[in-house]
Amino acid sequence: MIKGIQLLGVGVSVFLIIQTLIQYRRGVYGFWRTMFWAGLWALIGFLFAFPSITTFALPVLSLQSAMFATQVVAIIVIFLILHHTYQQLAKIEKKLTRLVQNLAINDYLTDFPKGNPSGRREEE
Amino acid sequence: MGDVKRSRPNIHVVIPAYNEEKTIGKVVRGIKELDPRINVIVVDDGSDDATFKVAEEAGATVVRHPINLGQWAALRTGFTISLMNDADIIATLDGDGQHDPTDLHTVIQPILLGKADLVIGSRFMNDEKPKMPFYRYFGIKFFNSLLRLFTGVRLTDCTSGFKAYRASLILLLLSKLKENQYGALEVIVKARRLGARICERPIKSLAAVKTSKGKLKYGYNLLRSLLNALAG
Repeated sequence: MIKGIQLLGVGVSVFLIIQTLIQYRRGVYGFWRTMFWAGLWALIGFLFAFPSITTFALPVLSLQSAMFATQVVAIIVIFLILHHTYQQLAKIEKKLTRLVQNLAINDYLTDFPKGNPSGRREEE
Repeated sequence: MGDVKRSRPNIHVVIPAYNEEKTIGKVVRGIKELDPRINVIVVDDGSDDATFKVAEEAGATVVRHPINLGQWAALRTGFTISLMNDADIIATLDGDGQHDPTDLHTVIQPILLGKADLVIGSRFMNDEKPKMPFYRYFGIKFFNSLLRLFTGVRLTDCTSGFKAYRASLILLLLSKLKENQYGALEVIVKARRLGARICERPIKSLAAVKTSKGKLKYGYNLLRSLLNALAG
């Protein structure tokens, strides 16, 4: 029987899976990104619903309790997501910089198609 | 890197400006009075004020970033425009009026003589030392020491915004510069890696500069950019 914090965890997971699918339908996420996020949230929801399932991994991870194993996995997942987000932000910043610079240069070329009227070298 | 052999070198001055309407006009006019043939390119980095208009009225060619990207992103845009216009020497100075345009000849002289590829205008080589908070003074000394340790370049004012470059050096450097805001050390490290000859010339510092430079965040970002440049 699912109860207490488990209900909240499952509820949040279902909500985030729906959000992910909405992003897919809107074309914001591609297929593989949707699979990744939906899969991740489904896994988290599943772990909330059946936490005892982690006990099989305890000897492999050299951990004592299912709760501790869940915490360790959660922290790893959080850092992975943080790293991914940071990388995406860096990429967006780079693209934005290039876009703004190109806009400025294109504006300049529209104003001065043959270069700066005063900036060109005089014919020698 | 090729010497400047033309009878009259094509000199460009690139000034990054963000909300500098009070000072940019004087800076541009100062350069034009020095030599009207010098091409002044002001890169308005997403200003909210009349920087664009004031700079244009003063005689500069103004390029506008629709949003604020940072000083070094603005400089890279200016460098691109200068290279498109066949520049031989590209100088940079700040738009806040802290640099004296009459020092321009002093700074570009080593390039004209074929003795340097990158010249840094140093505020610490004059008898009159610049007025700045002590932490900023020691911060600059600290970064001078780091640069000397890692690159072997002896400098007294590594963060100075008054610089002159041989255009052929900029051509090689442009795609390698990554920093949008804190690029002062990156450019020195990468120029050195390309084998550029780097030297300093004394310049005057006109005003006690009100700036965010010198604060902890600025120091941290300079250190980060230096480490990135050394690793990259």
